[in-house]
Amino acid sequence: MTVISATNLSKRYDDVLALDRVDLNVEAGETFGFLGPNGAGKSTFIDILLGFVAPSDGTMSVFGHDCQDDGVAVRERVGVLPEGYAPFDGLSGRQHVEYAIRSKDVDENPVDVLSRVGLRDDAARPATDYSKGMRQRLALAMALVGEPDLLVLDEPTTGLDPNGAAEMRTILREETDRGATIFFSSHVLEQVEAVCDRVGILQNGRLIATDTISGLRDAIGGGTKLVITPAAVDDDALDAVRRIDGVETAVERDGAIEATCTNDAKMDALVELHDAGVEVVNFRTEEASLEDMFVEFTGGARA
Amino acid sequence: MTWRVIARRDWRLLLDARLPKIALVGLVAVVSIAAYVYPVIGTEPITTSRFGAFVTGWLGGILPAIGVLFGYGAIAREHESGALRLALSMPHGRSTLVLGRFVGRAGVLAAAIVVGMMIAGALVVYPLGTLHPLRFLALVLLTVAHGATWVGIGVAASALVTTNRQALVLAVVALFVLVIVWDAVTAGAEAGVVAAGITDGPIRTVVQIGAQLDPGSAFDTLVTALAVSDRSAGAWYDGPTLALPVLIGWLFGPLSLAILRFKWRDLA
Repeated sequence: MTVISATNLSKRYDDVLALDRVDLNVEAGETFGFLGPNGAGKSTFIDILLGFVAPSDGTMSVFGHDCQDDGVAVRERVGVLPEGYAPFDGLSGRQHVEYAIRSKDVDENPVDVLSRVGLRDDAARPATDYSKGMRQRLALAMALVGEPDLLVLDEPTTGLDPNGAAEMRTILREETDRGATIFFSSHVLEQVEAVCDRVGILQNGRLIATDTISGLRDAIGGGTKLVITPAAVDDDALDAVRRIDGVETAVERDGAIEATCTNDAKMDALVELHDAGVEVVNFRTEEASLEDMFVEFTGGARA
Repeated sequence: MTWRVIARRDWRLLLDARLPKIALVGLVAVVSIAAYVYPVIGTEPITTSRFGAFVTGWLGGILPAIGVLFGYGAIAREHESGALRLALSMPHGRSTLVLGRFVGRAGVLAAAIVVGMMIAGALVVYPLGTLHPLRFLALVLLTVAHGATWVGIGVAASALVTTNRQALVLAVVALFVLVIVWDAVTAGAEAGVVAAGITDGPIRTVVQIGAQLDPGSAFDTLVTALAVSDRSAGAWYDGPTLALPVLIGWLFGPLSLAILRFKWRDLA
């Protein structure tokens, strides 16, 4: 069953094309990671999903409901952690959750929800006094109210310390275990890699890749990263590696050459360096990380 | 009915804030003082119906100011802070959000008006005044409608802009134009027409109708109509025939237009 369906989705702000003909389907039960550098269009996509902005062209539906014409029906089944939100003035953390409970017309104990995100002891404090990380936890608590079928989380780990990020990952796993679908936008690649079944990479408003992480790895030629430590690195050595068939990227990092390449090209790279007179002190191979793949797909842009 | 959830939240927020509480106490105090002095300085007979005509002058300045104060922060404050994103992540429609905010804020003002009027009614009736229950009820309802009109104008201003400061400026400009400028301009036009020797005819009628089209004049006309028994006197546009639709129009018009605009705009 398709949960999120975007067809030819475009959004233009004056002369800026924030989204450019995006087609995307997210299936029920999966955890989908949405990756992209700042300004790639991730938040615009989510803003359209939530009905905050209207697309210039194309359509988006969630559970078969059009996000513009039937936004309330969409949000009845969606829990949202929006980016750039602020808590309500004058309400405590508990009152925020109570507001979510009444808004969604469900019967839940706000203390239980707040305990789940680690805010039980701060429930009575005004939420405007919360730190950034606590605000993220509070928004997650409000999103979790009513066991939504879809969780939309826009940069959910912003402001969280490593423990907080780990706790959030645990909660997300619990949610997927009960059958929820998760749409997760982040520029923290480790977070996406840790929790997501499938990722989409957005750049300059265009969805340039959508696949599982292993699928993306295959797409860049087997996804092996070869780390070579030569006696000295120079441009000639890098160029020599880059010229080899099967080598996608070769960069210098901390005195080593990191090359993303097919399995077949690994030995060719070592031979080429030897022939070029470069002394190889050490080498090892690694699976390409999501960051390596992201750099490969976006041509060097950082998430 | 999710508008109730929103209205309840705004009701609580308003009652927890200091300035609205001071405004509400001030409103009740003004109405009560007016009721206390009315039997002393008013003309016979002392009735709750005639009290309405006496108190409109006192309410003419204070109700619009409190209404706008209650309304202008309804949407724009949260738009500016980012809390609007949280509010709209819940399963509320945008129209419902604006309507709920209006109902919650107007409800607080209405409760204060009812309390003030109950105290005032008792002060007018005891010991020598007369209670006209239906007309007094109508006076209370009209005063609530007038207060709600100004809350609606404040909420409308709030829904049309993106920052709290813009909403305050827009609401205060509306207040200034409708309370002060409107009367001054229509009085000037009336004087000009008379000076030109035009004592009747369509031009004079248009000028006189224009003077009745602001919410304050409509409220005054309706409250005065409650106090007089001879309803045949005066032109049709000086009575409830025009004033009632005008007040209803101001009550729902600005809010409806703002909802339409707010419903379809990008909130990024």
